[in-house]
Amino acid sequence: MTEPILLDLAPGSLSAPKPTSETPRRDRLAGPAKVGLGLVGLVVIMAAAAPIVARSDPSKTGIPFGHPSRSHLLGTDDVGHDLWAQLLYGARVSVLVGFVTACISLAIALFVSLVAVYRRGWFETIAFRVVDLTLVLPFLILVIVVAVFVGRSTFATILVLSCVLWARPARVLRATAMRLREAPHVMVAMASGAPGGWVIRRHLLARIAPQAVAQFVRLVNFAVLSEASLAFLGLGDPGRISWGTTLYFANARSAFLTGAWMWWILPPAVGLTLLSSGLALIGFGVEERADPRLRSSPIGGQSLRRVRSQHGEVIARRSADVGRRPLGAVELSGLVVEYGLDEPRLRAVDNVALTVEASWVVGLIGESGCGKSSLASALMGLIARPGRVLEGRLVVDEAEYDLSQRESVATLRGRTLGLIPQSSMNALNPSQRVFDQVVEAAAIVGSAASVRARAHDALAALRITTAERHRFPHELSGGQRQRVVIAMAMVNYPRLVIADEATSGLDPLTQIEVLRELTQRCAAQSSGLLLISHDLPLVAKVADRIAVMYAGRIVEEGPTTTILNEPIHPYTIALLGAYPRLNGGATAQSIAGDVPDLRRLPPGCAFQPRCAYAEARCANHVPELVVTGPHAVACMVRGQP
Amino acid sequence: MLFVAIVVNFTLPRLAPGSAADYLLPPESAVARSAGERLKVLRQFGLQRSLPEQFVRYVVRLAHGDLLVSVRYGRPVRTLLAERLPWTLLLVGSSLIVALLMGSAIGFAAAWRRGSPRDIGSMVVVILFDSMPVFFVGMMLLFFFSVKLRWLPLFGAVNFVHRASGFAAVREVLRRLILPAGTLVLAQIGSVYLAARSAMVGELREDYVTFAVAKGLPPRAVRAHARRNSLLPVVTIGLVSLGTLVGGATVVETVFSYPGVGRLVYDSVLARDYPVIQGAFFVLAVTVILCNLVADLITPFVDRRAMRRSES
Ligand code: SF4
Repeated sequence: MTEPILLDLAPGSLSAPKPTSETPRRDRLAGPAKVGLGLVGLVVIMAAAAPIVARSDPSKTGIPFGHPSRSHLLGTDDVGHDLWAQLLYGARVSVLVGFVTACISLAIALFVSLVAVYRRGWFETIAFRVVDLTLVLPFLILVIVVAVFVGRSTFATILVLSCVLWARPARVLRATAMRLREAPHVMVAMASGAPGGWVIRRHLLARIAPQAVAQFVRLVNFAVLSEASLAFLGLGDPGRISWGTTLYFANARSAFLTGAWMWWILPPAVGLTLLSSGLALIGFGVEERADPRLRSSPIGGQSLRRVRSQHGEVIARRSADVGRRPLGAVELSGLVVEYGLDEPRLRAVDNVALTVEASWVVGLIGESGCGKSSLASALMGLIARPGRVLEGRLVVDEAEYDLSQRESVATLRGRTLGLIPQSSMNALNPSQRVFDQVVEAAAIVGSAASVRARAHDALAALRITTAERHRFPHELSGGQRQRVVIAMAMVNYPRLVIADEATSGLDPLTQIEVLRELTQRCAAQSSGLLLISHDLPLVAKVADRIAVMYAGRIVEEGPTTTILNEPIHPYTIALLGAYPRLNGGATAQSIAGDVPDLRRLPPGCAFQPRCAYAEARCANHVPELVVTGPHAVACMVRGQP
Repeated sequence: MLFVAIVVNFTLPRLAPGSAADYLLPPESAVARSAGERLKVLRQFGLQRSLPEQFVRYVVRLAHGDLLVSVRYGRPVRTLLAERLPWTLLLVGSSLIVALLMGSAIGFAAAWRRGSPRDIGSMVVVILFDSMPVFFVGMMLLFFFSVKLRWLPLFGAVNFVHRASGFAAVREVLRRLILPAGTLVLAQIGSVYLAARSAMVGELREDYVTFAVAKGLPPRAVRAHARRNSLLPVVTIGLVSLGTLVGGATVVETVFSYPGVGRLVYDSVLARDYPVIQGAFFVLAVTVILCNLVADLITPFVDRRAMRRSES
């Protein structure tokens, strides 16, 4: 198999396809990071330029409580220290302690975590026992206790902070290094007897560098604030002025009561705040880069408008209708789904139309990446940005819905359309009893009184016993969970049930069993069933009609027997060739060539590069879907009557 | 865990430059003046014996709950701590609860509207507050509410409270709690917010949330699904950061003259009252370790997900 295209869903994920292009959110965060750099830069410049800009010695005393003036820009404190000079020189301590401490702690953390991951054994055990402990102990108190005994000097502060601060980065870096250690190329390097230092330098160090940078920024931040707290508690270096000590004196001598607080307390405190928030902003930027998981996800982030439903009594009526009056079809037409913000956009679904009559089972078949899951997501209004439904129309009982309008689609979900998602193993909330989850689904429609009864009925119809209903998802088997999900999708008598690879996680026997039950339920409720799958033999067992999808378009559609016995489209023929049992062919053969890249489709027929019947004109014209009786084919060569 | 706390306590004064006796008996302290007293204290610490012997005696003492005698107050450290600890627990406990509630509420909302101006706005505000030194927040609150507006008392002290009784006492305690607790909440809310936000962002990516949308649930109910499962990591992080909070309490108690263990530590640092510092560290370490232990014990019971993961 070739590298799967990003378009279709990875197994175990029901969320809509992830965009391949960068989202603009990243740039949004790059802005704050720049602001952060600016703030930190400002403080560093203050510290560096202190002797030039200060204009007076910070420890020289003079007139107490002097107001800001030309000679004392920020006035003086109670013994006449120039506060402007104190501010500038104070920055030096913060910068010095912050960066030196961060360097030392990071060095320790890197050494400990890398050696631990490479060596394992007793070193790892002991080192990380110490890490756990250090992390649990009350941080500041620990620092105070150590500081009390080590003494009061800038050097001692750095030493004390380094002793305590290395623990957290060590733990984070080890976790990253552990993951990398399992990477094949690192294991190969280790197995081939490469010297440890080399493996660490060549493979591990480069890869954990982004994480290490993020941790470094955090460490500077921690160190700066801790130094300030220590100094504020009177444990700073008595020989140096730092922002913390300035504030210590201000607090100890009740600056607030004197009115001098404006230039005594505010400047160093604001300095600390700016430095620290600058570091935090940089940290976010760096972390976001180091961990792409922090970026987008499908739900939320956009407003899911509340749906007001006039569905009221519809359910009661519909369940009474079943078996009496034939219900109309659910008709989809002109569906177009695109992804990406920049050209060329990726067109996942291109002008697709499908009709599912009540009680019909229609199979939608295609390789992964053909757009069939995007079709399901579009029907349910679950396409995540930057994907969108350009156009699409759904007609149910004379009512028409515009699929490109989120509000319009939202009224369909759970009422007219029921979804049984891919990997329904994960479709249940792990911390809620399954019955409650079914009740919740039932409650969006109909009277509150009947909700529980309907939930019980739906579950009973799928052979979930009363005891099982009150269990948590993890207490049920895969097949049971699957049936719960089916019950949930069908509890409101939807007109169309969309099952997207709904049984792919189960073992073959359970698959067929669950599929049978699903089709029985749909027949009993007169719901149409759209069975989306890559598994042609499985679908052929239960489907009335089959539609074959390739590169975002439907290439052939017809009754199951026709598709199996008299396929016309070369792609369908190739698909059937892959399953010898179905058409009596001798050997299974996979389809030559690669799944097409939807960004760069060949001109003309998308199947042309892989097609055994291709002619010259196939490269120039896109074949139309031509309908002959119950059968529709999109092929210029074989499709002509 | 406990063992290490004990070892740290035992080793530090002995590692420090100069003799341990100098540290344990600062010359300016009242107790140290007479030679007889000095000998008595030296013997009390057992400093004339060998190191291992000292250690064993130290552990035995601890086992009996003996935390030595304060050099400054001349009273047993144990009684001092027993007086102060409830205040710190009240302060830390109440602010932890408030910070958890508020931080997670804002964080969850931000995760839901991720990327919107409101999300980015709340992020910036939270980062700003998170970056302010605890004592600065405390000082500002003190300044505005007590000095300028005179709404709330300037100092929080037990003595005032003892006089009142019943409802009045409770009121007085609360009045003196608001500012220090508020400061701690502001100091802590940032990390809770960030934890809540990232937990919720993670949950929103889960399949069951997408399915909840597909079920036709209104946004409110979808959010409730994700929130339910985001809560646990948030609470865990809250409990684990208890250590930081206790440290913050030291600073806050100092700013507000609040009669907790933290203020005691601060006073003892100034007075070089080492037995008290050590005793306080020991008691706080034990408290924090116990809380972590409890968190570890209850997590598996609350977290269905952990079970699910361990099964698959
Ligand atoms: S139109 Fe041409 S290339 Fe496309 S399927 Fe038919 S024969 Fe093959």
